[in-house]
Amino acid sequence: MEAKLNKKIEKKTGILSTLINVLVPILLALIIAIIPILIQNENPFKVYFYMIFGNFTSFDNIATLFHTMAPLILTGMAIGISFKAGLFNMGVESGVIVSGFVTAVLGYYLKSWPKGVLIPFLFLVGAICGIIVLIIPAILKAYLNVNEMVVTLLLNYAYIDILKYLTTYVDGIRDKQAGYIKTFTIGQNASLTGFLGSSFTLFFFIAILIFFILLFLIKRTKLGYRIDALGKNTCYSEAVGLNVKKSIIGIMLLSGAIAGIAGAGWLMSDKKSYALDFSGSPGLGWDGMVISLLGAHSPIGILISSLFYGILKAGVNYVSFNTIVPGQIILIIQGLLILFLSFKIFTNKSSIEYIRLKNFINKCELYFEKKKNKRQKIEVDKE
Amino acid sequence: MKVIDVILINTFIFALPIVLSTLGGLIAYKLNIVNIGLEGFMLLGGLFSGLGVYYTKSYVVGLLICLIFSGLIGLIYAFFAIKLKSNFIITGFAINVIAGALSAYILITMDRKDLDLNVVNAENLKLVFSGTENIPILNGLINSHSPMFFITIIIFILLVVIFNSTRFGTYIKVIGENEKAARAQGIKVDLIKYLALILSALIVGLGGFAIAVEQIKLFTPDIIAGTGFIAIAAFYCGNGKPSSSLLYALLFGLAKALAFTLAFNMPQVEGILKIVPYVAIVIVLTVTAIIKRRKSLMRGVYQDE
Amino acid sequence: MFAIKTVALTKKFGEFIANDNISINVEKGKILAIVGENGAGKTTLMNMLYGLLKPTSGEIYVNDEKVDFRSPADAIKHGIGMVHQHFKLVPSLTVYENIFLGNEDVFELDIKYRKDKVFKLKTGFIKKKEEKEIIKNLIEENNFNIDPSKKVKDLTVGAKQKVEILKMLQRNADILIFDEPTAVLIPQEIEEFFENVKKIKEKGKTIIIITHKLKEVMEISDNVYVIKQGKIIDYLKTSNTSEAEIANLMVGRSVLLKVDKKYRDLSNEKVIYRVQNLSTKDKDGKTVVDNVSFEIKSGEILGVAGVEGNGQTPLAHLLTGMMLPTSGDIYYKDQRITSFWPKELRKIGLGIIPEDRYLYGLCEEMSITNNLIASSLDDENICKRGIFQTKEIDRHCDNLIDKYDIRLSEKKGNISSLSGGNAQKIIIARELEKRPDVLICSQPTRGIDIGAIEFIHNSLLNYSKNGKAILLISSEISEIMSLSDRIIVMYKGKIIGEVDAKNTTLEELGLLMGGVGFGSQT
Repeated sequence: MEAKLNKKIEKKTGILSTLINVLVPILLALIIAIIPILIQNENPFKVYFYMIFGNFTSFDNIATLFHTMAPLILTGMAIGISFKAGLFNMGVESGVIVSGFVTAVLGYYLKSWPKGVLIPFLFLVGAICGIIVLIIPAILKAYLNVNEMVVTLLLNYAYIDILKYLTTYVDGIRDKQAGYIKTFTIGQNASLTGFLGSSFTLFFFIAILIFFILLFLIKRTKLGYRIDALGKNTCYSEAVGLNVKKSIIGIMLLSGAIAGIAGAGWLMSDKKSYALDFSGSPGLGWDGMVISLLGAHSPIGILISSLFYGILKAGVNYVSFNTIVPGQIILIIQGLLILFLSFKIFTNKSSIEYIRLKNFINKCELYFEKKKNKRQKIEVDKE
Repeated sequence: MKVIDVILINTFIFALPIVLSTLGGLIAYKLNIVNIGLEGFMLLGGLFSGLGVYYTKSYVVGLLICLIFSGLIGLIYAFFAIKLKSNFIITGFAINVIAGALSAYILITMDRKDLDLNVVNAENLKLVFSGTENIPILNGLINSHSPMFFITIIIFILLVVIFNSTRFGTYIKVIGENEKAARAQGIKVDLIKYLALILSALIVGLGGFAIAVEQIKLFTPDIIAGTGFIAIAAFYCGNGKPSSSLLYALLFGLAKALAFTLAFNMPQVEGILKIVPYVAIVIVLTVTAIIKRRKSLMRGVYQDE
Repeated sequence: MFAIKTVALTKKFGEFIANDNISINVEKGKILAIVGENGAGKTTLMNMLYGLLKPTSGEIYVNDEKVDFRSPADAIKHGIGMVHQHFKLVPSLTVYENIFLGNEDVFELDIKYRKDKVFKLKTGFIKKKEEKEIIKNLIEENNFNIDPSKKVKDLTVGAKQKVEILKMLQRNADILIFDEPTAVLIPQEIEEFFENVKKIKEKGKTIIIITHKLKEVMEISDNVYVIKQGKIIDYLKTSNTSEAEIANLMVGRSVLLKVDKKYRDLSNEKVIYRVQNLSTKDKDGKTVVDNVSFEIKSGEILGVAGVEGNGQTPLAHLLTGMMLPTSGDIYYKDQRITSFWPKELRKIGLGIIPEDRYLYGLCEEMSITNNLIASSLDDENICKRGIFQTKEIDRHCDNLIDKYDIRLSEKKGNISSLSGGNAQKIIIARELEKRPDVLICSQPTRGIDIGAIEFIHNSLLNYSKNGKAILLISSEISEIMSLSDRIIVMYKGKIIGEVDAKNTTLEELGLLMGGVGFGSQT
């Protein structure tokens, strides 16, 4: 009896502490973000109302929400698997933009290909781009232990400049008719069109499909074991026969491939041509980082947080449409979210906070138990 | 010879913020905290000095405002890293994102695309030693330096003195090397960490000031463009030693200056030359890693040394 | 009056009683030795005397004054100093900086106010010259022969110990505690250390030495406390006792656990595993495994004995593929397997039980199931084309948990929810179940409860009965003696001697472990 109660308390404490770990940062971020809103002389409740409920006012808006979610799920997973493996891989953003650019160029030149061939081909090319982008940092990390974060961050800048140069100066890439710097628009056959006139496309289903494939890989295969073991104990990984070098390279490249697919899909389903603001601001890669942190790098967590973050990101449009607050407020909320997610209130099961929470729940359980017993007693007495 | 002068002058201009950021970041690095937020610290330094300069039209007031806010940001960062025991890499990254967000948001609130900081005319503050303008190389070395150049030299000397002959500097090194031993000796570890991180933030903030007010004379949210990360690469390569880190920072400044000078003469490939410093730094990082790779015979160990 | 007196001192870690009702008296101006086997509770006792641990109950008196230490700083104030087994020095600082750390001599500015009053303002600048001078004098006074401005990382182990001693002398400690002071020293340094300790004693200081080396006890101490399983067994005057008597008290019959070792005739068995002239260096370039050669036959248990830190850990790393040799070779069934990765070693039929359970053997934050299958990731039944066969895995794990009597509090829990003994059983189960022909086994029972020790000993014995070879590296003499067929002893990275387990004695092994070589030398 007591063991059963203990188990119940343990379970409740576990769930509650996880919830608090996620919800407190969200609340703190939303509360602090009120300050810049007030500076704008706008009602924060109105802003948050549009940000959240604006998504659900029409079918089109709901479609847009899912459309926004699609690349977020992918970049979230791309960051998630590398962070879980203890690799601070910041190259997801470069994977997204390089793949987006290449997709744009090929989508324009190969527009005569049939749709059924071209779109899968472009996804494949996107994935390969992502892999190529991450191959250098992966090898440097695995063989020379060069800090992967510094390298990927520096190379991000390099890729941005390269793409900027190619888009701006190279004939045959830049669409000179357009009023701003962008590539030619991709052909009809390379384009993922929305269902029923909404912005909701096949890309969402592809993202979900990839998500479930990754979920399976992580939960049920040796690859998932590799990721987990590498992130938790490199010595153990090596000692039980999982080659650490191979793991590092494999995980980084997988992460790159997912990022590449996200970039290709976003271009084909949304942007249709590569412009300098392709990945948006903040870039899809950085969104992925917040999502992964929010979801504690677990697949289901990442799926839920991409819904949450998608609501914020799509909701910002309704905010800037209906209030005087600019869309950049999302940037501030994002930064604050990362900041408050950088520490945990309940670090592990032996932390003082955790034990306090457990004792509190224990007390509550006992209190309810007593009350229940009393009520039963009264009922028995009545009878 | 003119070209060499131009490159030298440009090297100092480009290297100055890198050096400041390196020196600041190095203090945290000595504490065993790799502050990935240097980029954000610099941007916020640039933002607040920009706002200060823009509204007061005074170099000195801008500098003071920059210092005050940088210290405050350092305090926040230290609070997260020390008191809340946060994952300081993610905290640092958050500062980068917040810095970018805040800059963009404030500019939009002001209904501007940028802040013109030429109002203080930093060019006029540059020192030229009369009579040396025509001596090649020497001209490039000692002339046309902004006040921040001299502040940087002072900071560098100060840091060397702090680390070599004061209690504060010794404690920073000890904490970074073996925090437990430091605690066992009764050293007030947390206090030292707070002070060091705030000092670090002040110096990095000055780097932002150097870029915004002196180098570009304009504030936009993307003026830092990786300088913070370059600084991290510099103290990584320099093993956290002030003098060798300084040399790497200068080297990276030189790479930037070369790219800039080349681009000036070959505008058609200007865009592609911008990647030179980043690629060069990755190469330098790789080479130092090969040299540094100690002949450890152990397998499976992947922690940063 | 005693320098230190404890009354019924007890320390519990959870359920485990590390020190049980310990009452000792430390005479002033004498050298006291506290002896006992590894894990007997010596270090726990000293940590309480030094304020690092708080006693669960009991009292401590220093010079007849009752004390309640909250930190080492309190102990230092009462004149107690301690040299830990692992020195607490900062490698990148110089000798004198280390000695003054936390206690620096800084420049003071005299600020005069109201005519005659002076306020001393402490600047942060360290008086390096003066500090160096003071330490130089101190070193000369003690004839220590070290350079005060050398960096600690450039010093030998013996010199580092001197720095620790100087640190205590500089702080005027009257009672000096040494935790296993000679464990890491070479013989010449040990001699020198004894000289120094005697000199310090002549100055009227009280010295406590924790050790398990009996020769040293006889050579230096005035009195001896023998401690076993957290209890004081006896108090002896060194001049009235012998090594043999202390050894008997210390080890006792009860420690030799009951295992039923049947010696078999192995002369017809084939050599299955062979190590030839193996050497390696640590990261400071010191040779830690020096020209080691041995061979194991099928069905044999070869014990590797030795005082800890004599090269057993790097040897185990070499044999398990976690470290690379600088020279020499390893052969398995005449196949050269030098520098094989752990993955390859497992594939050809080696089992590995690592010394550091939670670093190389288990992943604490992973589930019990995941740890149990770690060595079977290439097994078709467990992981077919990279996909886990969950049903088969569950069956396999249930089977192992049952067979190896692993007691779980929650079935789906992490390794961190297990006790040390059960965690070790996970490794044993995982490795033995692969039926390797050769098992490399390091410190299999370190820090675990008696029940688990017995279980593991019997598992190993049974396993070797099937004609499997086991290399057993352990610093527990009793374990080595009761399990092995043959024993080799390591000393300073070398194999100093080899004995037949059936006919050897504790004394013979003890002497070999102390570096006195005889027996059939290799």
